[in-house]
Amino acid sequence: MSELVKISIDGQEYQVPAGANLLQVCLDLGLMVPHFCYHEALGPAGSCRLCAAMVAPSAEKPAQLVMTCMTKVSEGMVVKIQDPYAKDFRRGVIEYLMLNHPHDCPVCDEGGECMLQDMTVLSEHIHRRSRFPKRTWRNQYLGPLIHHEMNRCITCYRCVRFYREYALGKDLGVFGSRDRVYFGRVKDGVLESEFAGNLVDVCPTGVFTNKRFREVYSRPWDLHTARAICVHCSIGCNLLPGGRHRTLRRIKPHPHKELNRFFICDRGRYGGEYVNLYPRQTRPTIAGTEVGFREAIHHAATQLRGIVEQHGTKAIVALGSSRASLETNAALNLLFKALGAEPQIVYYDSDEEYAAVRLAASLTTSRAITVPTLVEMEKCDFVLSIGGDLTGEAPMFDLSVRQAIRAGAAFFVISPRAGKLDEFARSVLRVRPDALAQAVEKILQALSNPAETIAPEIADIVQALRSAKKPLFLCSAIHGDVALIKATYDLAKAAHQENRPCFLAYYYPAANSVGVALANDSLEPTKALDLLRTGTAKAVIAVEHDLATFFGNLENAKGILEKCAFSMIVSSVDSIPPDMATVWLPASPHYLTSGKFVNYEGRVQHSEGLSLATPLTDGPADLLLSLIEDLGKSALLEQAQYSDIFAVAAEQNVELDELTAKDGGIFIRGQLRPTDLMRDSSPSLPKREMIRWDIIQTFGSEELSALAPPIAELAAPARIEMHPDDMAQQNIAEGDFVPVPDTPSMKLKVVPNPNLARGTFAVPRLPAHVASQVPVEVQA
Amino acid sequence: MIPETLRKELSDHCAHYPSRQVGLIYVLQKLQEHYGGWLPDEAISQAAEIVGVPEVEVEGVATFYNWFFREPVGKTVIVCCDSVSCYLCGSEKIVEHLENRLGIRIGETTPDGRFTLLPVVCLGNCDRAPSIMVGDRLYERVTPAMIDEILANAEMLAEGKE
Amino acid sequence: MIRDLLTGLQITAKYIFRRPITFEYPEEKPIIPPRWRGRIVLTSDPDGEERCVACYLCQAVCPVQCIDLQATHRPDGRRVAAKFDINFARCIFCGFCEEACPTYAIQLTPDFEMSATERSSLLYHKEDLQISGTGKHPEYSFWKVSGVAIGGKDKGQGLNEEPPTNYRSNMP
Repeated sequence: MSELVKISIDGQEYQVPAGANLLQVCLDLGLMVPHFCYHEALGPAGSCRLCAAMVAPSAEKPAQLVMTCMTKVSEGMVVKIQDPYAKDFRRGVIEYLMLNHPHDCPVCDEGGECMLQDMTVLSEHIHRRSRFPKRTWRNQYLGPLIHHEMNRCITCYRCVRFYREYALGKDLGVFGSRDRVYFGRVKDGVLESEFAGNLVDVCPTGVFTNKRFREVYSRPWDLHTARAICVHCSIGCNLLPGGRHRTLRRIKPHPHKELNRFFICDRGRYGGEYVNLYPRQTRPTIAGTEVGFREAIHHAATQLRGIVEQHGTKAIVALGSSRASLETNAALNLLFKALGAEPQIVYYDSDEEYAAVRLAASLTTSRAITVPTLVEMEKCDFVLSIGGDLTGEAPMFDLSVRQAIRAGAAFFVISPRAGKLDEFARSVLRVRPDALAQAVEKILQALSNPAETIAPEIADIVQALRSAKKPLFLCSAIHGDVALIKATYDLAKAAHQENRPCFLAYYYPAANSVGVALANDSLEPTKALDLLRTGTAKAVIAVEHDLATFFGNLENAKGILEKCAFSMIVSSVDSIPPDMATVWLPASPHYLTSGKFVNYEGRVQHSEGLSLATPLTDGPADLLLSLIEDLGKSALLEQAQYSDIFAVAAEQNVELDELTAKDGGIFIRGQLRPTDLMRDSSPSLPKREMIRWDIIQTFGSEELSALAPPIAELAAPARIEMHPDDMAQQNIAEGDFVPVPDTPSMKLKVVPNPNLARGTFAVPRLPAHVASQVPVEVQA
Repeated sequence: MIPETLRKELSDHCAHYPSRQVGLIYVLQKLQEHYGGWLPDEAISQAAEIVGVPEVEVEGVATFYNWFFREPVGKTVIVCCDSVSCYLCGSEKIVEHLENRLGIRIGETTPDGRFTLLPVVCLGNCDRAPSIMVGDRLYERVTPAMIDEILANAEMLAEGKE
Repeated sequence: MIRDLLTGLQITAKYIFRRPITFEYPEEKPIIPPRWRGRIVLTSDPDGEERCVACYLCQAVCPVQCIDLQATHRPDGRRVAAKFDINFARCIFCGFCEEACPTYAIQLTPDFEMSATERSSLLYHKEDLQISGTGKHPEYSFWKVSGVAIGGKDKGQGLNEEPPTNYRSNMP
């Protein structure tokens, strides 16, 4: 802790950390000093001249007018914010800033949370004395997310400082000089950065506003808000969704001091819009006929009870969901107990995912590794990204790594396909998906045997790792590579030394992957498929799980459901036709329901649901609980404990029960032993000449956000990427249609990508409902 | 498009510096020369490619400085100082005379594309005001009477260059 | 006591010969001052377009929350109210909405005759509130003074505006 110094502000004495930024000190103390260009994340620029105050180094010395954002506090400093001279100066500055500001407030989307409004009032500028004509600008088209209204600009430079310096974006700049300064792109076009949405928050006035919110605009004071957790990746950013008139209007980040402190990615900001469109079928159905909730639930209860009585305790298979809350998955488990059946629940879409996610989650929650927070990542001086594309798979990791890179960290990448961060890497190791683990093992060998000569391609990495003070490994658990998870763990363990912490973070396919990985009754996907295919299982229940994705495609899903005596879907998105199931129970989507999610660190966070008028339906957990009540097993609910359903320490039951959104999350103590999982990890992928690699796109690959119109608009087209040399070898020309490996019914256009490992087909991972809409081109 | 030799020369020039972007101003100057005195959009993307910085950076530099022209100019650019010293010494009359002689208003280019007349804030020549600059030549203590000679001279120079 | 009685009768007698100050409403209509706070209307611009820009200020200031609106955009770029409801069963005719309105769209009129036999008929929708005239402030048109481009008014064509700036200009 830094030492404290005594300073006086407007006659009051305060103890503040020595050397701190005076403006930040004042703001932290709740003393409003008008300011624009200063932003806690971006630091001071000293360009707006608004945060002036009279400051004297000590009581004896004369006071001078200084910019508080450019001043560091020192012992005995005397600060006068309310000095008449300083106030007059600030009033003058704001008057200049307002000279060309248009009379837009009534139609401006920033109104109500506009910093310029606040600062103008705070600086006591009331009347525009200038009679000169106002400067005007033409706006630019910046894509579907952001609206540009350049007239309102007060040239604080926050946007370019965020976009270019903080997020290291390339296509937003500042042009011109003097009173002719323009912030925008060289030409109209979609902003490239995945973090462009933050411009909306960063801009102190209405130059950059949320284009989607604008469509159905409401003043911020009218929005109902809740503290929610983002559901579009495994990081668990804290959000503040705002809703009105039964719809979700916009999502803003809610600062969390260890995770997303100021910013979020555009997937989180704009992906939640699916909530307004789904479920389209808002009434339950029995075999396609609309019925009431009570009737549907009673029907399901009777049928399920009948099946257990007739076919035994193993007749039901359920699909849980790694994107649904702990409560929802627990309710599903309790439903089995209420039926007296053996819980046969599958949470994953493939065996590889099952093995990889469970191993990574067990390492995380058993604290075998030190998992960094997003803030800790920014302070690492060595970053090795292994086996995935951070920008698409864990977007906020990308932003944190960018901060580490800005601070001079050595950044390295081992992946089969180029990502957006690769340009910052000191070296990139391009390896086939099935050789990732070997590459990591090679580094481990080189690290532990200093005498050996190091292969040239990994020499940089090993050397930087040896000299690093705070190494960080980021490894993808999304592609189902168990060997890679294990190899990375071994490497991190070897790199861990007493005097230096070594961080390792795995990132997962879904928001609650770590949570469901701890579920006690978890069935392997192929076993579940066998049970259903052979007819051993007579009933299937899917809770927040897309059946088409699980069974490969819609036809397979249909075939299986028809075979079953009973099927029930509880879902907040009706991406498959509701009448396919015997009982369809529409559920309230995320952001409208509450629940707990476990993020990549093993941090359990409570997500609050927005309360918007009368909800059309209940959350999935509540629907399942009504089902249990209908079975007459309400007593079961009262006895239920988290530790019975999930492999968590029993003493955490109360803690978990009492967790609220305000707590910032608690770390779960998982009881899943990594060693058990490592033992049965089989060699991950079979050797093949050409191997498939899933491209996880920031926009369009995540199941829920892909349903949101702006995200769907930004998604790259479906394609197969191949290395040009492979194409030449196999006589494939650009634009040819090639069957997708593992999904031969689909043919996609080939696009050459020189930044792809040889022997790899790279295909964007698309949720089944999106994939079904991709035009299937079959060659003549 | 620019000739490969020029591209190579500019690229090599950037390589002299510890950081390539230091060479940006030089590259823009050379490109402005190549494109006939101004920087079309194409030049911006060329410079970005040669120096290896984003286009927004190049555009920022090109629009920041007075002497980079982002709009077409005539063969010879005449800039007239309109700052205090020159103003007091009669720069208005000089501009007026130039406007009449060339048949254009300040800020415009003659229809035959020979001259562009622009104001400038200061030429750093206040002690010998009023001053104007024609092409890369500075004229001091200009009087309306001198203008004809200056223009004739400029035309000669421009033709000489060709 | 008789004297008291006579005094009273005297006053009565005096009033018998005065003209009555009551009148036969509703046959006879009262004269209401123009600044009376009665039925609320949404006025139009001098050019006949709707004045309300759905800024929500009336809704925010309304002490009884009788206004409910939702903004939308017209294809020409104007922001308008998609829905503008005033519940007159709740309205207290305080006139705050008129004071808060930055575009002079919402105005209170001298019409007070709006009694109804059903509560639901007191919920006025946008089409019930809109009038074609400008009401008070006949000259004012918000879109002319704002910096936003709308159909028929491009950037720089508003009142007291310079033409759009060109940062690429050769002029210093």
